[in-house]
Amino acid sequence: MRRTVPLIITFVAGVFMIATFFFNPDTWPQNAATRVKDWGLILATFAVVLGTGNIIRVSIHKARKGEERFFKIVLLVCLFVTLGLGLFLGSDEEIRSTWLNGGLFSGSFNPFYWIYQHVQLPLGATMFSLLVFYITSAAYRAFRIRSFEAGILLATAVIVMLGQVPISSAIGLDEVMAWIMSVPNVAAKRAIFMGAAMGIAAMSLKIILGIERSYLGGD
Amino acid sequence: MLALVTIFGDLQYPLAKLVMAILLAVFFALVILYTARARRGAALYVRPIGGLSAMNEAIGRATEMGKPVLYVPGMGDVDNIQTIAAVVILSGVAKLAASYDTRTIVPIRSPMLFPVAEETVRNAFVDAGRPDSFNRDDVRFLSNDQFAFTAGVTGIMLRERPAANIYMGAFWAESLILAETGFLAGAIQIAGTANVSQLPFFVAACDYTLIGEELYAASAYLSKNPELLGSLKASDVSKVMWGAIILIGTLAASNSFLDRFLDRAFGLPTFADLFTFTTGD
Amino acid sequence: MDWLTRLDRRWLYLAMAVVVAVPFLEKWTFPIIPSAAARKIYDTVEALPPDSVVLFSADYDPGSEAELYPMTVAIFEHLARKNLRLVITQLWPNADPLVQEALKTTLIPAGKVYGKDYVNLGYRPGGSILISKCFDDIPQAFKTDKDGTRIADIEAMRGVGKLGDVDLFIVISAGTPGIQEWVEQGQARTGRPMASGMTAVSAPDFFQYVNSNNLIGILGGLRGAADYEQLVGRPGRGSLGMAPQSFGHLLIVLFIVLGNIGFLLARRRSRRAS
Repeated sequence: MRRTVPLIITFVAGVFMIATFFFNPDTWPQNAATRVKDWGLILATFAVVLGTGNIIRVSIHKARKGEERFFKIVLLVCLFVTLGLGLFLGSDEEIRSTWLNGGLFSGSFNPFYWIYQHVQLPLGATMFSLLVFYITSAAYRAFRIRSFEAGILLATAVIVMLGQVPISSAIGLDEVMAWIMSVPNVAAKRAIFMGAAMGIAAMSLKIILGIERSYLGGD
Repeated sequence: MLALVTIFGDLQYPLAKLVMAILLAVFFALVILYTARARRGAALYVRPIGGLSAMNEAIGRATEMGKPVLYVPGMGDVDNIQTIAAVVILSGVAKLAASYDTRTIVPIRSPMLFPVAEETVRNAFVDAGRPDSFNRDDVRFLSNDQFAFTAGVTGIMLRERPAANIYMGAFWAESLILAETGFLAGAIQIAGTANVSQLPFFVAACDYTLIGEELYAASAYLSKNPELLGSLKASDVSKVMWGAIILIGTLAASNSFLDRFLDRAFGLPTFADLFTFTTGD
Repeated sequence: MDWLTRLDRRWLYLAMAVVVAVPFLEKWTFPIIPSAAARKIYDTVEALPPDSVVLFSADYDPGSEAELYPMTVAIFEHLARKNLRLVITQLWPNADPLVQEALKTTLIPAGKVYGKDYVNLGYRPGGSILISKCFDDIPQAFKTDKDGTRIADIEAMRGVGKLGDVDLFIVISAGTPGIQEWVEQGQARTGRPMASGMTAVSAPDFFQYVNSNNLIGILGGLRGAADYEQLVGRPGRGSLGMAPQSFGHLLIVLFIVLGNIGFLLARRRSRRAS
């Protein structure tokens, strides 16, 4: 029962959604599919509550046990402060009248927006910029001419890398890069994409038909 | 709007969708056929994939060292099929780890994925006969934000020092940050993604990498279930078939004589018909 | 030469930090010749008749702000100069403050009126499902703009009932949902032209869409932003970033060469020994 019902739901929903693709717009199956997609959106929104609940529970557990207590407390404080500010003040730069303040804070400084601009934005950018260091060490370690093919790979990488900078236009290297990117690169990518597309179709079919059911457990 | 054809008497229908329906039906028929053959016990050869054979070794090493396994099911949401494939592989990995009484830490980015992953790991522990060893805190939602999530995962790598890091699913710019941090932390690493632009980073920093469709084939390899292996075979057969169609199509599209010949001799639509957009609705 | 194979990675990090920081702090600039792809996007926007509808989807967040925000500003600047109607959508929840910031330096100073010349429909969850719904009915999918005004009451949205009414799609994206979803559910189904911008690292994924004419052109990373800034004649962070990027790339090439010299020497030595 625990596995049969989900398998039936998966089968019916899967076959229905595939079938709707082949109907013309504004026919009842397409409209019904739109309604099902709405349900998906609603579910996705509620899942955020589940995720947040989990992060709070795990953090409290860890803090109680004394593991990484300081970090977990920082996490919880940041979470609740940001959540509260966002809920009550909105996400605009200047606070617009919301149900809470009735215009009281309207037009004034919004700390939520400030946190976004001055904490989240630079932190995101910092993590992203770490990539430059990791790429340097990975390239230094992994890019070795162990074989003839590896040599070709290396030469191509150098051309593409130099093609990304303005000096390349002066020596025509950007044209070579554009050719590499739009001919050999696309050829290899298409092959991988087609294989992957086939994998996707097979995987989807296996799930719809209940052949693949390991994610339900109980084997 | 795509070019229309007339079918069933007078019904107007987009030609491209019709072709797609036929190809899909053929593919589905092949999957069902090969699955049935496999069920009857036909021997099917599949080439070994290094990354998947290494899965056992990685989990075994984590067990010997008494350290957890870290499994990152990608950055995609549940509507991304790579994420589904990642969950399917997670079930195999978690079961194997559970049978050795080794923890599997699963950091999650998508809130929708969280309950699915938790249930998968819990079921894996039940299947392995150790329901009590399942620790709910090991499946963790970290953040919906790409780099906040990345920072969280690298934090787990450096604090809890998992001995094996497995990255399966859809990854973007964070791939190298994760894989290089894992490398520096000394873990054995296996990655798999169909996001082609991230493959070079995984190849450079991981011990094994599953490329594109190998990710989708993984569950069949791990479970050795004949029905699943049958569907792999169907994929291969249809790949040969589609390859032939692409070749004929390319020749026809490059040579209008052949295109017209195919049109007259077999009544096949010309490629100009198939891919012409008409303006308006 | 043994040190080459045993070089502590922190030296590499330090060298990279110096090579990137110095040109950046000293504000060195390089002459930039825009790529053909950027020029094609620019020309397409130039050729749009007045009052055409441009749908701009900002599908990224602060994580990729460095590359994608300068691109957004350059494109907004171009749109502000033309009498086009701009409809902004977001498939990523954290894009809005970046969009607002970009509007503040482009459309707003150019005297464009919110609701009349441009509208911000804000973030809605759903990714490809949302786009698919927009294909049929944008007011139904979004209901209101970001501020809660009904779409029927927004002047900028008149005659824009579905994606087929859009004259040009411009999608700047850092991943999923993003360009691929817009191509599949928007561009391919409507046949309307689409331009896009993405981080440099994901650019190789999208050349296939240029070859298949789904995309008219792509702006890849900071270089793409710099190209567009040059075309609109407003050099900004993209152009400023070209000197650090050039030196950074040259340094990586140098490191790869050094790494290989060490590797080849070590291999030759071990062959001799055996």
